[in-house]
Amino acid sequence: MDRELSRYIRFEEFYDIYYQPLTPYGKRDKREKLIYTQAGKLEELWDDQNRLLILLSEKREKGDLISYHLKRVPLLPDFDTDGADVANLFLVKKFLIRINAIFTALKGTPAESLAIPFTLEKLLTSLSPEGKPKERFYLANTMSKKLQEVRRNLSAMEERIHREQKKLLQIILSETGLDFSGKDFLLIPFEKGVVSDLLMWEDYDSHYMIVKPAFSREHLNLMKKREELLSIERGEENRIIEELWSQVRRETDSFSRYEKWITRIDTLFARVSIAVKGGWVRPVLQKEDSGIILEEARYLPLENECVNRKVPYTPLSLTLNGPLNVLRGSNMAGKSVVLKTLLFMQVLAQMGFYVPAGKFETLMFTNILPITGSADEGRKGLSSFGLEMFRLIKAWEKIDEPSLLVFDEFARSTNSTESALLFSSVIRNLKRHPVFFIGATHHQHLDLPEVTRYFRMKGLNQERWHNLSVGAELSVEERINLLNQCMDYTALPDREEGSAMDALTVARLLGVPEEILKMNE
Amino acid sequence: MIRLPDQQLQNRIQGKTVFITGSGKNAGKTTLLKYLLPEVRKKDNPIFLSIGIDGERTDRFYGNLKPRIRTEPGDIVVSSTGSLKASDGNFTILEVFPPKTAVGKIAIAETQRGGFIELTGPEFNVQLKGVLRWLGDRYPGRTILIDGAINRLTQVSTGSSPWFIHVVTIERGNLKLRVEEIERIIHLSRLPVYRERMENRGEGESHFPDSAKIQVLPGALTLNTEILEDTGDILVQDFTRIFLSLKQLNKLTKTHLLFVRDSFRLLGVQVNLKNIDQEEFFQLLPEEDREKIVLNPYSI
Repeated sequence: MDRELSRYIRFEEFYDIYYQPLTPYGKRDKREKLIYTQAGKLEELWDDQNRLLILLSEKREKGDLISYHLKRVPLLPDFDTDGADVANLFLVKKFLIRINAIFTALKGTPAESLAIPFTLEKLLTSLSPEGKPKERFYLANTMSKKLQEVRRNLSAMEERIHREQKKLLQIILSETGLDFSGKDFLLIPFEKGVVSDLLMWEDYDSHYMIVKPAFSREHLNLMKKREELLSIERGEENRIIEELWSQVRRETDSFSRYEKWITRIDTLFARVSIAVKGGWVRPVLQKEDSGIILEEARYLPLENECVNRKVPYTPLSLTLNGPLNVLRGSNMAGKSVVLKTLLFMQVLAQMGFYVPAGKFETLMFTNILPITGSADEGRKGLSSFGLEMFRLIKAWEKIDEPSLLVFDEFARSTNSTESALLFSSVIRNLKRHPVFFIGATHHQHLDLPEVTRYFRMKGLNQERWHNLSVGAELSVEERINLLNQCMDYTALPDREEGSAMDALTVARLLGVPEEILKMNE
Repeated sequence: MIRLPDQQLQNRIQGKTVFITGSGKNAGKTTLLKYLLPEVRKKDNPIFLSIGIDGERTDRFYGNLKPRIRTEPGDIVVSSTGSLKASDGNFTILEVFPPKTAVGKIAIAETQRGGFIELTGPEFNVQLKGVLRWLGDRYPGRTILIDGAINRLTQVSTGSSPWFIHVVTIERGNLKLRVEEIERIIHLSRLPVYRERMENRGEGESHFPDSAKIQVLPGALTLNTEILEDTGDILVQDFTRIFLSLKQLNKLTKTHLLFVRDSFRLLGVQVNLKNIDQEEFFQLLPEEDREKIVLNPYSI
């Protein structure tokens, strides 16, 4: 996703917190931030989410079960670079157990069609010497006769070594009184003067010596034989591991298919979880010559901010019937929020999410192009005007593709005459291109095509202001807060020539000295 | 004659998650772990791990190769897949954690056939947290022993108060230094916990942290930290953020109340004396600190 777009709509505040895939595959997919440009793909995504939504509403416990398994899906080893070892075999087994469990959980549910056939039972059986597969892996004696035999011999050998050791320690205890049970060595004061052929010792410091049991030649011979048996065991274990690993590698196509499948299920599940929790709705894609309808659309970053500040938040309802739209309104009236809400909805929809709205009907765009004049860390050398022109040039390169172009007080930093000319000229030229445009501006008298539709923010509710502020001595900060509370953030259709200006009223209410305001009037 | 405190360290560790920390490398941490494991097994199979790769191949004090750890059937070990493979024991893999160390992925395994293992544990805090959470979920109430550095306590402390045993080896040349270190660690472990102190606050104790005079330090407390003039109480995250000598610490706590947000509970300081009499060592320690001392469990 474009960096400016993401920053302008504070997208990360939604994406990082709300969207939480549970598997390493879903998490990897999340990083790609893919915006879809094919309607078919989106409809497919929404259809699948709808199936999961029905599943969650009808069989909540199934949803919990799927979520439980998703959390436990491991990342598969890289079959090209990771070698054969028990850890990788464990990961493969765990992966198979978990995805099979998800297949099973989906069976007989409204979302059954999301499952794909599980075809690796045979491999799972090979990795499960315990019978019914458990989430653990070991090389069982039953995997080879040779392994069984060498382990039997090892066990007998260890028994003999243990007996020898126990015998020795008992003799040491009875001859010297030293108890080595559970210890490799003891620290003994020199004055104890223990001397025995059964012990080895060396100085620890000027008071103590380190004493260890001296094992017999017989004991050492047994240890050597054990080493030989261990070497045979290791060889056989390696052979079995290699054999199992080659079985795994033969199924790389299946694994690749399952990885894609689990990515889809996980990301669908994460999307649906948000929709269920927030009561979100499925967006509707309109035909090319239609407009955009938002009903009760909620711009989450601002809504959350309002909740934290304990101030009311007004969702947006707006119908844009044609492709060229101009939005006007006084300062602080919420023009930018309208644009941000629209972009937020559009981005969510084209990323395959449901949206936080009562209704969202929109079009499919190849490009989403905000020109906002906001700072860009990557282009520090440019003035804000230069930056906007740079973005306009870049946007114009894509203008022959279906695009959503959004201006937030375009060219605000230059003189108002030229700014209005530029604004008007852009819109007039857009007429020839498949562009859906909405621009917020303060300009009142613009020379725009007839088809242009105008909107205004309802703005200040003066009566409310009067009621709340009467008799109160307010600081500038308190006035700003109060003014925000008295704004009506509704967007309404407007006349071409615009409505009454209220910037001076706002300035007066904020407390700008009267002499300044009178001079301007 | 000084009366020795309770030397039965093993009685204090059952059922707990215990870090074995030490002053630098070769303090004797692994040797203590090796001693404690058979003691824990008398009641239940232990879970054990180390933090990171131990660079020292030999044990400076006992002159041997670094002690490999004996694992017995039913024990749970956390180590790299490489070291599990190199062991003469036999294991069932229970979990594998994705990030790799230089010697392979970190696995949690149950010992099937006993053997020796060189522990190579999680190197990163996020891994250590993941491993401990996994173990805590599956094996509540089991004793977990972690051969680890003291600065790792910080990363696992949130929401819990880990226990630790500090291991110190003392020789004639570092006697004074090490005794100071012991006093310091005991002092730090006794710092009051912010929340607990608040709850227990009595009438009239207005200088405690809810007063305006508390100075919360987001980072380290060092000699260069500016303590504001009207500060009565100082709050640090935990004691590993305090970089003051014993002398500096004593001076500060005479004039200020020093609090920690997360506490680490000291089970004991295990002391290995070399060329030093027990009597001489204990005489140097303040009486109230002696109860924490456990002498070398291998000596008789």
